[in-house]
Amino acid sequence: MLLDQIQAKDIQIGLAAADWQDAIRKAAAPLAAEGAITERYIDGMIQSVLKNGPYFVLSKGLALAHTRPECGANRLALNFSTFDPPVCFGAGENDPVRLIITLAATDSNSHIDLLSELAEILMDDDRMEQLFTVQSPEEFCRLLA
Amino acid sequence: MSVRVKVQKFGSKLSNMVIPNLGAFIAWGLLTAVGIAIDNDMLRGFIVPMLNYLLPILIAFAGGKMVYDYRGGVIGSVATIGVIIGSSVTMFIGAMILGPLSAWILKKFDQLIDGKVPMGFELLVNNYSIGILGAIIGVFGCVVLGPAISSLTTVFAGGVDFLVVNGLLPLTAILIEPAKVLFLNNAIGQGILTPMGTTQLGELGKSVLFLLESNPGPGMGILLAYMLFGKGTSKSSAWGASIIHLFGGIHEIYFPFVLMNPILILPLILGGAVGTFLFNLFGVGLVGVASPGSILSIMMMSYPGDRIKICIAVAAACAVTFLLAVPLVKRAGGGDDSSLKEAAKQMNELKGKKSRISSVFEGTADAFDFASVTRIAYACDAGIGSSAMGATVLQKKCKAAGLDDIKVFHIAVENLPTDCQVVVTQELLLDRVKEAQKGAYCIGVTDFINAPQYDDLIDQIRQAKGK
Repeated sequence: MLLDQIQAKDIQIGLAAADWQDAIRKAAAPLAAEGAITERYIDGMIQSVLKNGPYFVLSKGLALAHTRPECGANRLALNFSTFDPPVCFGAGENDPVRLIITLAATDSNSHIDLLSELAEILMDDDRMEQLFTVQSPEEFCRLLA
Repeated sequence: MSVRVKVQKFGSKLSNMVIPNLGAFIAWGLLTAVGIAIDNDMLRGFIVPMLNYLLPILIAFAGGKMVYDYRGGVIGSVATIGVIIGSSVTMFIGAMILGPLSAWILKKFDQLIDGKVPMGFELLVNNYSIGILGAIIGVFGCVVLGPAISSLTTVFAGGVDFLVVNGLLPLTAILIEPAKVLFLNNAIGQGILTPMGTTQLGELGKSVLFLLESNPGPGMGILLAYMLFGKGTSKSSAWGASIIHLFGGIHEIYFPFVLMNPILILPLILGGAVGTFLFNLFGVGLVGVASPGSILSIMMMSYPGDRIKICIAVAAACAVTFLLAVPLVKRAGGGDDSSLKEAAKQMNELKGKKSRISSVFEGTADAFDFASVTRIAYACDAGIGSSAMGATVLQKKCKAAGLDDIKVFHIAVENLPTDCQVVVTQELLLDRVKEAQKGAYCIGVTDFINAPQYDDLIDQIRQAKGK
């Protein structure tokens, strides 16, 4: 699966969350609904932040939510969710988080090409600023392409 | 380096494979001694599998780990199972060869493919290289090395056979003691003396042949000499070793002490010869195999009325070996000192390295040799997402900077190889990484995508490489 396969259904725009745990749950909900991950995977992500700190808040305003495959990742899948208002993860200067990318990976290597494509976008500050503020899933899709 | 020093170094390598596993030897010795003493089938069930599989594989693991850390240990263990299966004798010698050898092969292989594995496939290649090489070396051990080691025993067998037939029993020590120290003890005992002894059993009801190899006296003499006159680790480990030797009957435990100081083979031969001479003189024998060669199993197997005489002969063998070994151990005290000095020097070198590293930790990074960097590890807790993303970004940046030969790979903190050059990780995990990576240049970042540390690192490497 590569980035051009991302569709509007994989994107949620302008979610509101009570706290970071709620944000992770809301961001991951579509993946759970379509069976890419189990509820256990969502709990796994929250548990590992509780244990290790917000290690998947990668950059300013961006989180790559994920946990170990054995927590319940059924297939390789991605979801993009923007939050308005942004959510605090306790991640210091990277707070607040505006975009959560939820990643389900079944092993440590099969998704590398995907991440490599994603990295191109994430390294592009202008594009990131646009992604943070787009108003519709379709527009978001176009920006990814 | 003189031959003597070489042999000593070789001996201390061997003991490095044995000493860390003393605990397992003790467990085996206890189970064996108790199992035989109370004649319990369950406990006796431990004896053969532990001796044939567990102990050699532990030795192989220690040997492999010595050469190439945990991966070396794994391949050493895998390879050694082949030589165990391919031979009927206990394969300590095979384990001591294949453990370090296969680890060395793996190390060379890893060096060969280093940097050539496509990103993301490291784990796969790492596992399959151990799997495939281990299987191949295992088969080699089974087909070639196992039988080769077994056939060495036939050489000794011929000699022993000749001496027994010609009534020169005490002279068998000349062959038996060196063969033992080469870890062929069980081969000699079970392969040669047992069948011959069993034949005698039919005629006489007992046989002295069962006592030749199993006599713990000479080995005990060596260990006593080290206990009283040895130095440093050899002195302190001789205590534990003597218990395992005398009561557990694992003679292997004293072989490294002899290999560290090969001249000790002479006291062993003389002690063994005196023991055998007395056995013969007293006309004593065992009614069955005393295996392992523990004083307990020898007592169990003694012909009625022979016990005290056997004890006297064993004690005499021990005393002779001890008395002759003392001056040699004392004299080697000088040699031991020099090896101690060498160890101290190595320690100092290590310390020097450590202080260099700690200075790196304190931020004076100029001591770190950036020119030699070829691999950068990017570690996170799961090794799936954050580190993979960070590694991808850093790899792209390296490439853009013209550092094409630098390979960035992602991995979970707990799986980090121990020989990392540079490790990048999340600030939160930095302490954990530093803990595990004393020798690496560790960088903590908070921003995986735009970390300023990436550019600093690349600049430093570029400058060091003169690009």
